[in-house]
Amino acid sequence: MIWAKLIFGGFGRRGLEAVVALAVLAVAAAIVAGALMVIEGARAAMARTEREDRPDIIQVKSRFNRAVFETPRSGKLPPLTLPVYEPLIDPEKLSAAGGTLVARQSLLRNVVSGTAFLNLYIFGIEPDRESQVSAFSVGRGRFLRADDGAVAVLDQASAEALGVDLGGSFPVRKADGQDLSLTVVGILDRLELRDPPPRTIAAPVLTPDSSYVSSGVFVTLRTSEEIFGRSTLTDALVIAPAPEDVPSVVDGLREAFRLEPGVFITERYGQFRRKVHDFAQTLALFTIISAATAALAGSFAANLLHDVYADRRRQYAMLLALGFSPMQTTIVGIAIGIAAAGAGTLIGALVAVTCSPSHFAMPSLMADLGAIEPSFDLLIAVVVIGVALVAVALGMAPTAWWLHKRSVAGTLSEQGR
Amino acid sequence: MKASSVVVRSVTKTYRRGQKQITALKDVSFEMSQGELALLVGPSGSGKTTLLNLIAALDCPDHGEIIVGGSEITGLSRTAAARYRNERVGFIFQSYNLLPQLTALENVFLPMLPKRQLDRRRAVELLDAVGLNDRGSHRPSELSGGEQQRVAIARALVNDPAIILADEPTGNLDDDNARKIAELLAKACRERGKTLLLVTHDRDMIHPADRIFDMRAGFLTALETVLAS
Repeated sequence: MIWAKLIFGGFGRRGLEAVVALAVLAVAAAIVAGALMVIEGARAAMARTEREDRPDIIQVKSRFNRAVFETPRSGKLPPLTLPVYEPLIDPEKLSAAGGTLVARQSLLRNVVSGTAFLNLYIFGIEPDRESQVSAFSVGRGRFLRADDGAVAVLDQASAEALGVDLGGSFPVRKADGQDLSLTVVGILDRLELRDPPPRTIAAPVLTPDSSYVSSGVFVTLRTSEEIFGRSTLTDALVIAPAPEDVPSVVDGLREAFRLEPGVFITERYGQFRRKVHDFAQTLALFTIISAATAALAGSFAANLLHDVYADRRRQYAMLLALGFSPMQTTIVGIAIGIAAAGAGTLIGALVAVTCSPSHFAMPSLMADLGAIEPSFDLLIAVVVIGVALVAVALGMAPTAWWLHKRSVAGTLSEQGR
Repeated sequence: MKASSVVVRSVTKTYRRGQKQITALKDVSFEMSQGELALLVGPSGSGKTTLLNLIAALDCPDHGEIIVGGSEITGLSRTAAARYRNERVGFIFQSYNLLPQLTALENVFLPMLPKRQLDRRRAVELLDAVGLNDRGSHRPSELSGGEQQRVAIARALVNDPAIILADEPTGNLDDDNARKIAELLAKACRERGKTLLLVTHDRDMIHPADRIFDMRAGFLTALETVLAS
């Protein structure tokens, strides 16, 4: 109790200044924490963008064929098969441009299902490389292997529509008119195909109302070449060694396909760069806000605490005169500052956490980064506590220096006047 | 012959005030025995308080040595000096220097805090001894000047120090109160066998004092030994 009285008692009107310092530190902590939370949210958005958008991936696709798809039921045409994209891409040219090639053949086939025909998207993929860019969740069975033959992995919706299960098989018409029986080795309960082709025809779907193909039958590229009867690709992804290498790889691809107007090369790196730019602007803006707040509010709080400490110099000298060690006297002195800083920081941080919006809309010039979710983390806690401690240290330093430089008798004499 | 309690040898102390150098003490030497009660008299600015501060290790001399209880105290570190003040010196200030946020009783046992040996009963006894047994829960602002100085005397005695240094303890009091405080202080020191060095302008402050030191302009000019009647 007596220690508490020594630390917190006897401030008189200076107690009000200590409370004001606490309030200033609370406001500063709230602003600094809020600004840093936006920066942290922007950083998370940036990381999410990098992870999800994969700016290092370049999409190469052939012209999309929008020809009317007709089934034999119309009675006018024989069973007709059309690719999703036209197979115009020579894999040799793709490889020459550098980067890691993820080749694909995307086909559309109608398959006999009971008494009806069913439209199915068939993807010839390289299982290992495709798994690096797309997500496949195998519910039952297994995923494709590079050395697989006439086997397929398909999604749950397609399997149900086809009426096949694990171990079952279904026929697919090849380009030469013969049927190839594909054995089901795996059923997918979820799949996220990176850069899937647009959905243009009714087919089983895992994601209802999606504008892109969200389901399909996956076979190895070798099997799809057998079905398709050609080795050229309909689309492909090229993974650049690093995001910064994307422009040079794109240049190489454009040079390779300059005489083929039906091949389109799309990269996200440019958009990613704009997001990086937006992140840098966000960082700069909110860093300036937090730094200015920390500097102004911190120095104001430090000045208030300086007055509080200066007013107590005689008391600290008295404690020294009575035999309190310099360390004990320092503890008595610093405790009030730490208490004010701690309470202010805690209040400010709580205000920032509870009052900050769950989604922060960036100013229009930074719209590319999208909505940001402000988040509080250890680094922000360290920064706001650091600001408060620096304010306390600056406020206390002159008094500490005074007590250190002058003799106890000198301090008692000067402060007693 | 009693052992020396305080030995001051050739002590010099100067202060710098702006460009001006002020010599507060010039080659001061004297000794005091254990249990001796002495007055340090002289005009204002003669160096009395400076000498007391040096003996209390509240300040350091430029030259000379001060030995208290057989130990050299000049050149002690700040921490060691604090421990010395806490354990071996009781200091009474003219302006009392009680902490306003503490009660009278808390002010008395304040010097016990550094050692973490709080003896509340001793503090109560001392407060009783100075006649303030019913004022323990009062804050300094609720006490008269004389009562505050009584609290300061109890505080000086609470750690049972060998030496009591009193810097004009009655300077802020009226004559009647001054006489009572001086008598109380002398009685407390005599009963407990403490060495007392009391700065005052009044040569008859303690009657009879064992010795009277006279200081003029930083010099110890006269030592009078007063025979007990």
